[in-house]
This record gives sequence, structure tokens and C-alpha cells, in this order.
Amino acid sequence: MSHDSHKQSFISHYIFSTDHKMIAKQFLLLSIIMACLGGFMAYLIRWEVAFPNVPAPFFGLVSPDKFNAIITLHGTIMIFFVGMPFLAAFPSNFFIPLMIGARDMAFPKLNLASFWLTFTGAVLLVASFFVPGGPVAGGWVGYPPLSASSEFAGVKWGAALWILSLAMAFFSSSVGGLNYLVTVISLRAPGMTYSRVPMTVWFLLGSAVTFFFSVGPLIAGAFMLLMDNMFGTGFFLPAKGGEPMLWEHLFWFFGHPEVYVLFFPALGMGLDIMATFTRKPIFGYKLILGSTVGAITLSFIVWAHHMFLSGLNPVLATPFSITTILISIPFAIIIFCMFASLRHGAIRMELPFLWMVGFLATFLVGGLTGIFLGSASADIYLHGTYFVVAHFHYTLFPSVFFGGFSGVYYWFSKMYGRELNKKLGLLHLVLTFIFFNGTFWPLFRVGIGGMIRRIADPSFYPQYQQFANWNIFCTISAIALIASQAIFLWNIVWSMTHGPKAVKNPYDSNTLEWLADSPPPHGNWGAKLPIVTGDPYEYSKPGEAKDWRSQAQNL
Amino acid sequence: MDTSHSEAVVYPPGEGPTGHYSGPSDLTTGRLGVWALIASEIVLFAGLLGSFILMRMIHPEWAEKARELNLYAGTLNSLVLLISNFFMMKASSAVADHREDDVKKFLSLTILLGFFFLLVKAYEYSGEFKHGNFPSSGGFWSFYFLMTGIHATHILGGLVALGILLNRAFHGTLESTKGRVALTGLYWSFVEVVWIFLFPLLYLLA
Repeated sequence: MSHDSHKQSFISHYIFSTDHKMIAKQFLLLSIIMACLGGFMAYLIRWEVAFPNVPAPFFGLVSPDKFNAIITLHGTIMIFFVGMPFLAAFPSNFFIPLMIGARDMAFPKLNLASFWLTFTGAVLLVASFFVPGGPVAGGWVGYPPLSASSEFAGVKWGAALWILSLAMAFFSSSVGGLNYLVTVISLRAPGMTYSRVPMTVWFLLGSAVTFFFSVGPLIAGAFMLLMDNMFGTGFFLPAKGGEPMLWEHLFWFFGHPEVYVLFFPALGMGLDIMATFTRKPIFGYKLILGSTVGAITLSFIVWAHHMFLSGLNPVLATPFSITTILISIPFAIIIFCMFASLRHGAIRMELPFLWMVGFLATFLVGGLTGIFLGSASADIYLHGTYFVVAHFHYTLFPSVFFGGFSGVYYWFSKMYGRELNKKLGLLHLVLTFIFFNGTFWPLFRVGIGGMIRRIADPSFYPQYQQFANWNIFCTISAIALIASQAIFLWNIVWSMTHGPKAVKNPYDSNTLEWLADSPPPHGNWGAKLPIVTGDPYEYSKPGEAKDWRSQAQNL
Repeated sequence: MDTSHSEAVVYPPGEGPTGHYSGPSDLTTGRLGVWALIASEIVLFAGLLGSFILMRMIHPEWAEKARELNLYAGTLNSLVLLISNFFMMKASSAVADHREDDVKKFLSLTILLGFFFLLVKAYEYSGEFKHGNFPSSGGFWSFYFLMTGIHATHILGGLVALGILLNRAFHGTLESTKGRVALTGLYWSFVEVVWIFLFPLLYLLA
């Protein structure tokens, strides 16, 4: 054991590191860079919709073909190169080993590979901007036949690079998920029984397992799509005897669970944050976990609700509507448990808690509008409209950004050993909350009004003139929303070097990561591992002097 | 950091600080990892085979194409993989019994048969190309080349792992990582099982 004398070169420490904490920070940095790119694309999309045919500042005219490429890449980047690294890979890498009392992941080298696979995927995606024919423009869902042949889309290399880039992201997340799973099963510290594992770890694990078991068919589909593009096969081309619907099934069999892959980490972190800042145990620990297992199981049999308009056999629409609406039951239980956890709590209105409440408040809107879309009869009208855009941004944005930021604000001091500026954090929250709702709330109205999504120039259609002012309002909100994130960037960059030094456990929290130094050294724990003797949520126990008790007492 | 986790299990079974804690897991991390890998592979092949089966049901005329496959080569390959797995098992038990010469012998035989499988596959492919059947020659051939190609890639991956083990065996450095022989064997059996699904679906459903 030589943790202290562990000398590393610059390259093995910062670049090809096998330390789970450095890999987590690499994922965080990558996701922030890609979020800037994806955010810029969001600005271009909104600009063109609000001010059609007016050149966008810092870019130029967003012509319809560029618009198609930009919406495709915005989706791909935000889901696979922002959401997955920021919400799944970064917290899983940083907090799973720390919260279960391990020194590192079960397979550190595989972890290293996981990051560099995602990195390669991001590079391939960015490279696709510069190949002849330009980047892929068939929508982030990549529906064939448009995506399956360069004859239709005019894009050959861009499509191939896009598929390869997705394949890299899939392999990376699968390898990562395998690592998290094995780590949680076999590297828990002495005394860390399954019923003492904190919610963050459970939900990160749920997210990894959900990904793991849903992505396989899509990897098979990605190979088929690649062969259709590169070797002239016809898996998805009706002209060659193929079946475009097959892709939609493979894609959404993965696509729906993927929403939960991005939702679970936010929920898990939210539950831990809730316990810490309400100073009381989570209500219904086992009930929440049971509901989550139910939700995961159901999430594998709801996928066709994304395909009500695709020519799916109408007989199938009813069972898929039913399973979709059923899935709101486990989630309702979880949300009620969260509300019950607030009751009689000694709530501390600190920043991570407020971000978490922001996550819940906004996500609920996304969840509830999902029930409308789950019903086939309503979906057939709403599916092609901005209602869907508003709905999925109300599910994914709160998860990735409100949930992710609540985690970053909660654990930043643990990660970098310095505190974030709280006033800037509050300003960031207030502006993000206002402008997020300003951007997407009106889109529900616009969507119910019948405005079709995925069109570059609404001024071409006289019936959409009535929404012009709404679109301008949304665009201004969106620009303000993106600009507000500069506060966050400034805050982390400044606080990393100039923030006040952090104490080990600023929030009097029970879980193990707060026993490690801030930042934790290589190997996390000193000479001995924590020996776990308590539950993660033993707050405000009657008869005890302190209102908290750390999970391990031996450090 | 190799030994850092060994101290994680400091309590004998049933004598942990909680009274019922008996170590995080009875399985080694390696074994868990390979099982998790196999689980993810099962889902991948399930998607692939499921797609093929659905398409095969829509297109009964694909039976004609299936008859063009070289059934003898396919049958031979099924046997080759089966025997290769037998030698893999022998290698695993030789490792457990410290019979070093047997380890080298059985690992070499496993690898030789793996290569022989790929040779037969290449011979089949060239025959199919000669008859004008390419991946782009219609749905059945697209699926045939994709599924057997992905399977062959798995064989190749297994051969790389086996090659590393054999190299270690010849340099006398296998001892420290001998557990990996059984783990590779686990993976090798999985690749065999996939073929057991592919062979009837492609060759016999004519």
C-alpha cells in the first residue's frame, strides 16, 4: 500500500489516468465543452425559427439544409455527449467508489478506456462537420430510409461518422456500466450491506443497468445502418426488401429506457440531497427502490408509444398506451415518497437543495405531459408538433441540468477542495429557472395550436404566423438561458482556484464520501478502509445529541 | 493498487460489525465482469437474431437462399467450435491442477481450432462471393454476412485473449493471472453458444 508515495507523471495523472476521480473530472470537462457546442446549436435553431432567413449573429444564415444538420447534431450531442457523461459517467465515476467505501473502480483500465471511447466518439462527431457532404441531417433518431442511403440525404461520410460516433458512445457507456455494476457488487466496504447503500449509488446503478440491457439491440441496428450506408445492403431500405420500421423498433427499444438512464441519476442525487437538507431519513427507502425496479421493467415494454404515427399496427397502440400510462404509477410513488420526505423536515434552504427542488418542479411538468402523449389518440394529433419538443425538454433539461447542477453544487467542495460562490450559484439557479420555463412553456401552447416541429422557416406557412411572437419570446428566453450558464462556468473556474478552502463535511452529511479528504487523495482513504456501521439516512435520531451520524465511525 | 481491495473483506463470514455481513461478494470481480459482458452480449445478439427471425417470417422465400449456403462447411465448423471448447475446458482444469505442459498443449489446440474455424468461414465466404452473393445481394445475404461477421469478430477477440494467455504460459508468467484462463473459457463457451443459435437459424431453416 503506497497511496501517499504514489508519484505520477503529468500524462498518467491528467490524461491517461486510471484514478476514478480524474476520469470523472475528464467526463465533466468533456460534457461542458460539448454542452457549449450543443448550446450554440440550440441558439441557431431558435434563431432560425424566430427570425427566419435573418443571418444569425456569430454564424450566418441558417439555411434549411444547415437547420436539418443542426437539429440532428444538437440532439445527438446533448443526449450522448452531454447527458450521458454529465449525468451518468461523471457522478458514477466520482461517487460510486467513494460512497461505497472503495479505493477505485473494479476495473480501472476499463474505466480509462470508457472515457477515451467517449472522447473518440466526440471527435468523430465534430470531424463530421468537415467531411465532403457535411454532417448527417436525418434527425437524431436517424429514421431510415433517409438515414440509410446517401442517395436520399446526400450525406455519406457524415452519416458513417455519426454512426461510428454513436457506436463509440454506446461502447463507452456499456463498459462503464459493467464497471459500476461489478464495483457495487464486489467492492463495498466492510459493513456496507445492500440496505445501507445510498440512493445515489442505487440510482446510478439502475441507470447503468437500464442502459446495459437496452442498448444491445440498437448496437445491432447501428451495424445494420452502417452496412446500409457503406456496403449497399438493404436492411432498412424498402426498395431492397428491407424494413424501415425495424430500425424504429430497435431505436426506441433503447430510446425510451434512455430517458430513464438520464433521469435516474438526477433522482438518486436528489434523494441524497433531500435527506441531507431536510435532516431526516428518506421516506420509503425500499418502496422507492421497488418502484424503480418496476419502472425499469416497464420501461422495456413501452417503446412503441414513440411510433404511433409510424404505421404501427393500430391494434398494438392500445397495449403500448396502457403500459405507458402504467409507468406513471411507480414514478408517482417515488415522487410521493419525496414529498413525504419533506414533511416535518428541518429544511435547510441551501443551494443544492434549491436546485433539486427546481429539478422536481420542472420535471413534473415533463412527466405529466408525457401522460397525454402516452395515449395514442392524443398523441396522433400532438406527436408532430412543438408539444413534443416542449415535453421532452421538460424531462431531459431538468434531469441533466437541474439535477446535474444540484449534484455539482452539492459535491463541488469534495471534488476540488474549494467552495463555490453561493450568491453566483443562486443567481444561476434563478435565471436558469425563469428562462428555462420562458423557453419551453410557450411551446406547449404553440404545439397544441398545431405548429409542426422540424421545420426551418415557419414564415413559409401562413397558418403559423399567429405564433410568430411566441417564437420570438421563446428565442429570447433561450438566448438568455444559454447566456446564464456563463455564470456557472465563471463560478467553477474562479472557485477552483480562488474559492474558500472547503472543510471535509460542510453539510453534516452521513454518507461515506464526506469522510474522505477534500479532494480525496489517490486511493481515497488513508491506511484503512471505512467500516460501515450505520444507515445512510440516520438523521435527527431521537435521543442523540447530534442530528446526524456518519455511516462509518472508524476514520 | 492491485492489492488495495484485498483488505475489503476483513471479517470472516457472519462476523462482520453488523453480525450478518459476509463480505461483498463470493464471486471474484473478474468472474462478475465476464458475466456482465456476456449479459450485454446476449442483448446484442438478441436484437440481431430477433430482427432476423422477424424478417425471416415475413420473407419465407429466404429459404431458397439458405439452401445456397455450404451446409457441410457449416456443420464442420459447428464441430470444430465444440471440440475447441472441449480443449478449452481441459486447459482450465490443467491450470487448476498445475499441469503446465498440458496448459500449453490444450491452449494451443483451442487456438488452432479457432483459427481453423475462421479459415473454413473464409472459404465459405469466398464460395459465396463466387456465386455472386454479396452483403448487398438482398436481405438474407445482408443478415448472413452481418451475423456471421459479428460472430467471427468475437472468435477473433477470443483468439487474441487466448494468444496472450498462451504467450504467458510459454514465458512461465501465467501463474499470477491463471484465473483468466477460466474466464476466457467462459467467454469462449458463450461464443460457441451463439454459433449454436446461428447455425440452425441460417443453415438448417431451409
